[in-house]
Order: sequence, then structure tokens, then C-alpha cells
Amino acid sequence: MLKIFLIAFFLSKIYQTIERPLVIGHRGSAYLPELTLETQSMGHALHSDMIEIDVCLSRDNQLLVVHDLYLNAVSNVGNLYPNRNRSDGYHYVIDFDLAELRRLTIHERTIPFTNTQVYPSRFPSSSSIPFSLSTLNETLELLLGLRRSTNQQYQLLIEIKNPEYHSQYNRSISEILLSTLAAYNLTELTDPIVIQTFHIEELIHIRKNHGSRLRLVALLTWNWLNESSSDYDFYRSEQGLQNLSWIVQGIAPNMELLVNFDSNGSIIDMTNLTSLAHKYQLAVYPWTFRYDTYKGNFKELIDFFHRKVQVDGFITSQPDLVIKLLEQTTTNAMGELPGISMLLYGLIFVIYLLMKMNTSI
Amino acid sequence: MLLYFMLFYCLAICQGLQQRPLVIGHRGSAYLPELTLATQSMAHAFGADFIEIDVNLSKDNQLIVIHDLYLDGVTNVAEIHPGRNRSNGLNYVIDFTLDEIRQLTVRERVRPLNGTQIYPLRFPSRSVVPFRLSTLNETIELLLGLNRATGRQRQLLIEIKKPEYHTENNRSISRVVLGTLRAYNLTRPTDPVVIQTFHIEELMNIRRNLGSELRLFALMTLNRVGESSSDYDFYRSREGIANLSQTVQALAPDHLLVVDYDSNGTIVGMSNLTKWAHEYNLQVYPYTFRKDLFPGSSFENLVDYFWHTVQVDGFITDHPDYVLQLLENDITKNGSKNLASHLFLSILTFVFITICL
Repeated sequence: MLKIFLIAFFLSKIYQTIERPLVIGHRGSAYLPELTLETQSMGHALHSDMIEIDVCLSRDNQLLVVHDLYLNAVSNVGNLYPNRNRSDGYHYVIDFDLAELRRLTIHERTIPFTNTQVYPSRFPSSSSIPFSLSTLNETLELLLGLRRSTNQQYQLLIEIKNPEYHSQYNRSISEILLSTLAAYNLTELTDPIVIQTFHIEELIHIRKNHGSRLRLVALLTWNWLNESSSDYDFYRSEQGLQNLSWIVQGIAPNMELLVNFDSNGSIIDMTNLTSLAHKYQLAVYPWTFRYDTYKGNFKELIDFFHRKVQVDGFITSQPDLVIKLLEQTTTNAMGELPGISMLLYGLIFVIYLLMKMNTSI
Repeated sequence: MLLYFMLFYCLAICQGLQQRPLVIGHRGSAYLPELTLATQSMAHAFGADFIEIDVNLSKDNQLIVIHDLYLDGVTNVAEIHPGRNRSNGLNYVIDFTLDEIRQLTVRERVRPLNGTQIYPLRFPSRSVVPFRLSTLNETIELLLGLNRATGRQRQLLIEIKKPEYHTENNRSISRVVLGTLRAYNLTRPTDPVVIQTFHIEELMNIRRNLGSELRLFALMTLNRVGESSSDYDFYRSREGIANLSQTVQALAPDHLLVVDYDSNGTIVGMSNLTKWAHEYNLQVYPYTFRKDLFPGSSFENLVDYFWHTVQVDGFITDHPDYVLQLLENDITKNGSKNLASHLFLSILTFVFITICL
């Protein structure tokens, strides 16, 4: 009986130390304007395992760290370059040189052509702080410099935005990306870089034609969104996942491809995508967990994805919050407070003693 | 029996709620070039209670967030504005306008006129990441914006550099600081900003003549350093501390004034500074705890000594994340030790009683 007690005790201690899923800081973090060097620094400081960034090309083939193909939601481009918009009213990154883009001031995301902040509780978009766009080179140097100064193993998840759009302009954004990474000696599976994109065929091209050994992740969404020409219905099927498993290390699906939500934001049930992906040894990193916009109980959401869906990582705007929630659910409830576990084990021990005493009386 | 357990459990919880000393991120943090918005953001993310910054005036009376009176330690000023240096070879902040200063790139601290990195293990000073100098306005907006976005109320500790030097240049730097803070409605002791400086008489000027209600800290060092005309031997005495307590809320002394070290760097005792400061209700925040200057586990021992023996109220440190971790582990370690021993005792007692009955 005592042996059983001791074994149970040690097993619970081991369970407590099992690693939690990865936490990936979406666009750095929610707390400062997206993708700026400052929010990337925060993403790292909040102990994200990885931070996620997006890259687009400028007219002079520089890789800019910006999410949209246009600049109107996050910068003062309309004020600075009033005549450089296209007929749809937007100013496109690919129509500007790096020197011109460096003159822009970046702010917290607003609805284009308005002063309305998209996420009202975040950093004020009206702030006069002159945040700037950064290049991929600067982002890489920030990452490598921070890894050295903090001795922490920060990593970067780089999304190539719309490769097919860039091809229309006769650019191979992937080639420019790979050669920029190669200049920093970032080429291997073990380097702290992962590349992802929505266009699956581009990932195949990167792996097969460019021969890259870097880790790759396939972003997945619904076909009707027209994010790329890839057939996500196929890639979500067993055959598609098997195909993917020969090219990529993981999939990054919209979280609604993994679970079904009702109209109130509560989870009804889960799909079989994760288990199929795991069958082919693909890691699963759903997006995007935003605490400030999720209507339901955020803790329950994280808990469900962690313990039921069993995803391998979370792409989130609030990495510190998700880390805290994951650490609470990873440790068994008894182990977190040493007192409670001591109390319970003490009780079990006492009961054991009493039982022994009863039998000997 | 249940009541017995509950009693001990409650006692243990109360013990676990003990307060830790404050952690003040010196120049933001050590991990990125000092005083940049990026390193201040990191300090905020780490959970530092205060972010410590320094301000100097530019030619056009803008408050620049920079530690030195000159630009050569942390920027590429000599490349961007050649020929503007003084006879000692250095380029002074007060000789440049804000627009000229905005053209500079900031990098990890190097020896001026030499180029070697001062803290070799920190962020590489040759990196091309274009960090910039910021103004006090931007720093305040960063703090307030981050407090709002994160829901965490961190504070700013603003050091006014060399008030006497600025007076010689016909500026009242304190007026400009107070005016800037007032524009952001930061005027009360409950607001998340504190002002500090080495020139004690300037603190009295701020409190008495300029009538500020903000919290003030008195920086203290050794007279021979020549930091200001204040007599720190006097201000460290019991009488001096009593005097200071009428103007400031805390002392921020060089740690050499708080403990006595022997020639090997081992602590041999503590001075009366902390004791007297506490007698006059002044908090004590020594500077600067730099992990990369202490080999092995001596940094942990240092923090432990200052916390439990000297009983300082906070730490000014380049490594706020690390000091926070040390302080919090210490609490849980002591907390769970006490908890475990209490429960063990109660279990034993219960068993003993049961056997006896």
C-alpha cells in the first residue's frame, strides 16, 4: 500500500514537469503596434517560444515586416504620399522604395481612412510615438542579438504574404527571403527560424526546388476566402495531410477548422483535423487566440485546445496570458500549491496508519 | 480535526502573501541598448515596478532620454554630424536640436572615441537595428499606453541629469520636466512618475519653489565623484537624512554607501544609512545591481543580503527579470518551507492524539 502511495506521489510530480505547448506571439504581441521592433521585444520578453511576423516586398526588393499588402491601416502613408495610392484608394507596399517607407510613422491598427482603432483597448492609435517599419534584416538582428544578450532561445515564425501576388510582379519573394536568411547563416532545421505561408505549392517549391532545409509550416484556411489558389479542402483531407507531411513540419490552421463554435462562442465539439495531422507527425498550431475579442470564457478555450484537441502550440496576441493559463492546466491541481498536496498526501498517510492500527488492534 | 488543519493552512497562506521589495529597471533593461523604447518595453513586460530613465536638454529645450551629457557613448553622432564636437572630442546633447538628434542611430554602449563595447555579453553594438533616441513625451506615452494595453500599472522614475550644468547653460531643466509632466496630467504623488536627481538642493527647489507634489527620490554617491555640489557626507549623516525627509520620499544611494565591502568584494557589514532612513520614513533603493558583473552565485547572495539583512525597499537593476525571479523564488521557497513544516507538525500532532485516545 505504501509502495502504491509513493508511486502515485512520484508520478504526479513527473506529470507536473511535462512541457506545455508552444506559445507563439502573433505579430509580436498585442500590447504595442503590431510588428514594430518594440512589440517584438515585448513578445520575446513575455517568454513567447516564438514570435510570428509577416513579410512583403517593397519596390526595390527589400523585405518589409508588415502584415497587409497595403499601408493604410497602420501608417500615415496617406498624409505623407497623398498621390501615390492606387484606384482603390490604398497605398501598396510594392509601389514604394525602402527609403520612402522608412519615412512612415506606424501606429496601432485603425480601420483605413478612419481614426477608429480596430482593437479599442490596445495601445492608443493616436499616440505621437514615431514607431517605424522594420526590415527583415533588422528583425533578424534583433532576434539574434536578444538571444545572445538574454541567453534565451527565442525563435521567429516568418509568414510570406501572398507569394502569388508577388509573382505577378515578377518577384520571387521566397528566394529573397531564403537568401536573406542564408546571409545570417540561417538555413538548417535546427536554426531558430520557421517559414510559413498560405500558398501550399510555394512551400513545395521552397522545399523541392530551392532545397531549403528550414522548418516549414502550412497555413490553412477556407477556400472561399481566396487567400491563395491552393485547395484547402484537399489539404485538410487525409490524402492532403499525407502529402503535406512530406514537405512541412506542421500545419497552422484557423482555429475554427479544429473545433466547431456555436453563435455565442462556446465550443460544441472538435473536428478530426488534429488527430489526422498527428497521425502523419504534423504539429498543429491554430490561430489566433485573442483575449480581448473572444466572446466566451478564454480560460476554457485554452484549456479545451490544450487538453481535448491537444494542439502543439497556440498563436496568440497575448502570449503572457496564454502561458499563464497553460501553466495552470499543465500542473495537476494538487501539485501547484505545495500545501494542498502535502495536506492530501498527509491525509492518505494518516488513513494508511489508521488502517494499519485497526488491523493490529 | 478539520478545524485544526484549516487553522494551520490559513496561517501558512498569510505567510505566503509577504511583500517583496520593488524592482526598478535601470535604463529599462540590460538586454537591448539602454533607454530605447524597445528596452523600456521589455522592462515593462518583465514586470519591473519602475522603469528608470534619464533626461537631458537639447539645444531647443527638448527633453532627450539619454544618460550621458554627450552623444558619443550610445550613438553614431560623429558620423552623422562630423565637426560638431567640442575640444575634448565629444558631441554634447545641448549643442544639437531635436531634429538633428532624431537623425542619429542608437546602439549598445561603447567607449567613446574608441568603439569597444563596454558590456561585451550584451546586445552587439555593431548591429544595424536602427534604434533611436526618444523624447520624454514619447517615453511617457509609451508607459501610459502600455499600462492601458496590458492592464498593469508600472511607473516611471525620471532622473534629471546635472541640473547645475543645465543652469550654467541658462536652462531650468526641472521646469521643463515639470511642464512636460503637467501636460500629461502627471502632478500628484499618486501619479505613476517619480523624479530623482543627484543635486539635493535642486530637489528642494522642485519641492519648495516650483511647488511640485510629485514623489521625489534623492540620489546619493560619494563626494569625491564630483557628481554635484551637494555634500553627501552631510546628507548621509543622521542629521542630513532627517533634513532630507522633509523633502523627499526615498533615497537612491550607490550600494557602496549601504554596505561595507572588503578589498575582495566580500560584504563585511552594513552602514547606518538604511536604518536611519527607515527611522525617518524614507525608503531605500540602492543602485546598480548588474548580474553580468558578479561571477557565480555571488549575485544571488548579494540580493539575498540586501533584502533580508540590510532590508532595502527595492533594487535598481539592469536585470529586472532576473531580480524579480530571485525575489519571487525566495518567497515561494520560504513560503512552502513554512507551509510544509506546519502541515507536518499538524499531521504528527493529529496522529499522536489519535494514538493516545
